[in-house]
Amino acid sequence: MKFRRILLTVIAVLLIVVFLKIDVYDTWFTSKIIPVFGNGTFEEEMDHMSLQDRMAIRYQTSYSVLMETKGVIEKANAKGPLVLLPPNDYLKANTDPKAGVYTVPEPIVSYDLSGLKTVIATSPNVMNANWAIIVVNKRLNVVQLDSKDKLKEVLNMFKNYKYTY
Amino acid sequence: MNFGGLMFLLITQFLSGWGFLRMFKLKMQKIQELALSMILGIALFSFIPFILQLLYIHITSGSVLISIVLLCIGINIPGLITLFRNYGDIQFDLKKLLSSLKRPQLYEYPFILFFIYLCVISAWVCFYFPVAARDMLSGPEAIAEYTVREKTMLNSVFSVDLSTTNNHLKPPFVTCLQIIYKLLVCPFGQVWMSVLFISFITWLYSILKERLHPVLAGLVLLFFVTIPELFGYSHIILFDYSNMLFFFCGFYFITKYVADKQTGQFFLASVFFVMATYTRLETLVLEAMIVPLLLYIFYKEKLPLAKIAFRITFFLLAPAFIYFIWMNVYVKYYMPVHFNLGEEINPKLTDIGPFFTRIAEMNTRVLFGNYGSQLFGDYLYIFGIFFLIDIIFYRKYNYETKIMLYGIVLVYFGLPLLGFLLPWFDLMNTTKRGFFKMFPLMLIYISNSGLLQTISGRIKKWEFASNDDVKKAQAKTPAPAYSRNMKAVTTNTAATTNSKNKKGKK
Repeated sequence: MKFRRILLTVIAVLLIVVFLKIDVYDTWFTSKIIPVFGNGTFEEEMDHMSLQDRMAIRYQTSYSVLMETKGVIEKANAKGPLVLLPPNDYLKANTDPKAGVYTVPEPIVSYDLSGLKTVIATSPNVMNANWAIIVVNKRLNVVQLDSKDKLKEVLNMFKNYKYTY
Repeated sequence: MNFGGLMFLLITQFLSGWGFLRMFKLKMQKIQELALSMILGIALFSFIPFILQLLYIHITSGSVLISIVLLCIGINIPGLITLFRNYGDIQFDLKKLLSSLKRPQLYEYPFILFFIYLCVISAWVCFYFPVAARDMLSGPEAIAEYTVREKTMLNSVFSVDLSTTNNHLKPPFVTCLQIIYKLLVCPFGQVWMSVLFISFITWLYSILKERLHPVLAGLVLLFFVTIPELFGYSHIILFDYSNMLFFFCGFYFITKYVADKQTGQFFLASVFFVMATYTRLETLVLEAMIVPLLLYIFYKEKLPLAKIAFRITFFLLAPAFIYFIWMNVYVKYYMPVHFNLGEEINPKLTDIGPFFTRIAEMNTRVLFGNYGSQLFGDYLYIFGIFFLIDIIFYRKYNYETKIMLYGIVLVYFGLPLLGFLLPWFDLMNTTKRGFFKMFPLMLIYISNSGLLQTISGRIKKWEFASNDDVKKAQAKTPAPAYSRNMKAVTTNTAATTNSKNKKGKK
């Protein structure tokens, strides 16, 4: 009986190996499962254990753009900032694709990730926005909207693009 | 990461779930009792911050801790009374629980180790990364994060423009667990998902082993665990994995009720359907579609009409109560936002064309084809093969397979129906993830299939062939579901069996 059990163990191992050789599972296993701990990923992740690092890895440009915006606003000592977010299509169309794809999340997510209060062009309180993220010379800029005219100018820049999340 | 907090939660979750499970007075394998207790504990804990909020009590680590302790003690009062009366009995009970956890056979280890590997991966991703899904970030996660900071679920998130989302209106199952785990374990929360996932896989493996030889049980579970999209949602927290789990548990205990006729099994099934509604409110529609099955079961059981009416009313009203508390009390009177459900319902209900369009799209765009394979692997085809083999060769269906098939059909037609009723119930997200609910039902179907039962029987025979161990093995292993008596639901078979029994008695 012991021999039969050993044989069954071998069969179990073979079943797993053969199953994972089926095309679709092979692709899944090699692209989604192995990389979690393989190829030095785990060591790299262990080197980046701070919350900020982990958030930056997960949210990438969405997070970095928001945090940089927050930094600029904090530096300016602005009170009650309300940031007008650009549509992601606007960012895609106006930034340098070689520099990477910039995205910004919707207001509630922006608030969750950075604590920044934001609006989009279609928000009911958009006219209260006093900061905006825009593209100048293919680079992202955080600008203060010190007049309604400036705000309208920025809204005009965004008007041909749709907000999709 | 606060390991002390995690240990505290694991222990109290288990004890609360265990106390709750004991109320139903069910007999099951100890490993199943362990896993189910953990699942039920998580389910119970998910109400704590919500109830605190309903009572306008500040949600802090202190208030959450006290509530957890009170819940844990309160739910175990019957057990505690016994403890004071007879200390030895409880000690014996716990010892029995621990000692009855059998060591797996050698041939189980390859599968068990592989599942542990997947669980570790899932748990690591859950722990390391913050919440990923947009549906979470734009609702439950944001609310949970600011609840931790501001001690109330009605926090500054509602001062932000919410026009791009309706996820803040989703029921608070995930939000509450995130709050608890953020307060007591780690800043990203999420680890509760791993606890749920591991408990579920453990429980599934155990119930599969009741039906099949462990090697086949491992293989069949492998089919299920490696569904790419489903595995993804074992670490991407969202509503759907939990919803699938509770929905399946509900169905499972209906089958147990049909087999054993223990009232507790029916009420436990109802509790799981309450939880399924608490994770996704629209599950209520699917639950209403279970009523014909229950009526049939009760009719076959020849229950008195009053009892049938009471049970059906309970089955429907308990989840409806959850819906009412969330939508008609909390969203309406607590949340500082306006929401009208009427505006969300399809205004053209007489035009049923979109229902059939959705069914067609469901098959061509989600379930089958290349995209379907990427999402669900070959799982649907595997199920299809076993289903066809059963139709062609075996043509024997026990009560369990029949109920599982009912569930599969219900989800298959229920999801497009929901898509038809609620236009926001889209195809590529909500419907796609809604299909998860079919998968564990299919798993139990597969484990009962004639082909696997035959192979399983032969392996067992071969394994124990040489000596008296055959008898020992038969005594140890519960009879496979396939060979069990088909009670109640199977009309002809039940009639024949009854007549045989009567003859036997005479």
